[in-house]
Amino acid sequence: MNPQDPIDQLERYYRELSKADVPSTAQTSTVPALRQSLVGLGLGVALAATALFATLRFGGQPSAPAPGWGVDPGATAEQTHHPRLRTEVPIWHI
Amino acid sequence: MSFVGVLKSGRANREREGLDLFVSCHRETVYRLALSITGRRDMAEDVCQDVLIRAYRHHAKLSDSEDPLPWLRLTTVRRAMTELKRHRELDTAPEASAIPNFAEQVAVAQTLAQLKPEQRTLLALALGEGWSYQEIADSLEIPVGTVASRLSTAKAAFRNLWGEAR
Repeated sequence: MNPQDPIDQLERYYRELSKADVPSTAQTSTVPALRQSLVGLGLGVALAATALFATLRFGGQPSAPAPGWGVDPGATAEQTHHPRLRTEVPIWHI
Repeated sequence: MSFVGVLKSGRANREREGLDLFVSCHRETVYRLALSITGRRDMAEDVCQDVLIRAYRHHAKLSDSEDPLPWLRLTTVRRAMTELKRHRELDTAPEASAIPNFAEQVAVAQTLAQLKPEQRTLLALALGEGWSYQEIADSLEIPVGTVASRLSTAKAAFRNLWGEAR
């Protein structure tokens, strides 16, 4: 082996590098980060499931009646102010 | 605590124990490989953390019967090389405190920093980690012949840069 060969220097460099201590901070920073990552993943899944449920459950229904929705041409102004009331079952049927 | 609460608590504890065990078993291997390639503790820690997070998320692929080491080594090599490429424009020379007796190694470190990330990775795996050509070829997804030629080129580049500095 030629001691002047730069590749020998390089091999010695790697041998020295392999002796370096593994810092304990790597462990202390990795595990909490992993836990936070998993918690974040869990929250994300829960949020997505909630959004999917809301879409499936309420997605097809408008939040407010569309203009003219359910309006009886013969209804009074007071009745048309509350169009949803007229779609409910009449009280005498309950 | 309700029965369901006890069950959930037990499951969470088992997951935490499994995570701790997984990290304690493989952290050093991943860290040392990352350090060999990058030569920097900060980069090695970033790589180590990212690889372990990925590994734990892909836990289904790394079943109990399967040795996770090949997957970890492969992912670490690729992640470390990506890290070198990402920070190439910055000062990615190996830091002094990462290596014992660094005074004699400064010249090597400075020369290494001038090589391409692929060349640094090849030299680290072949000379530092002692991987076979086949193992390097599998990790980098290149033919064995290409490994041999690129390694030869990397050594020549290192010798040239070393000579120019003297």
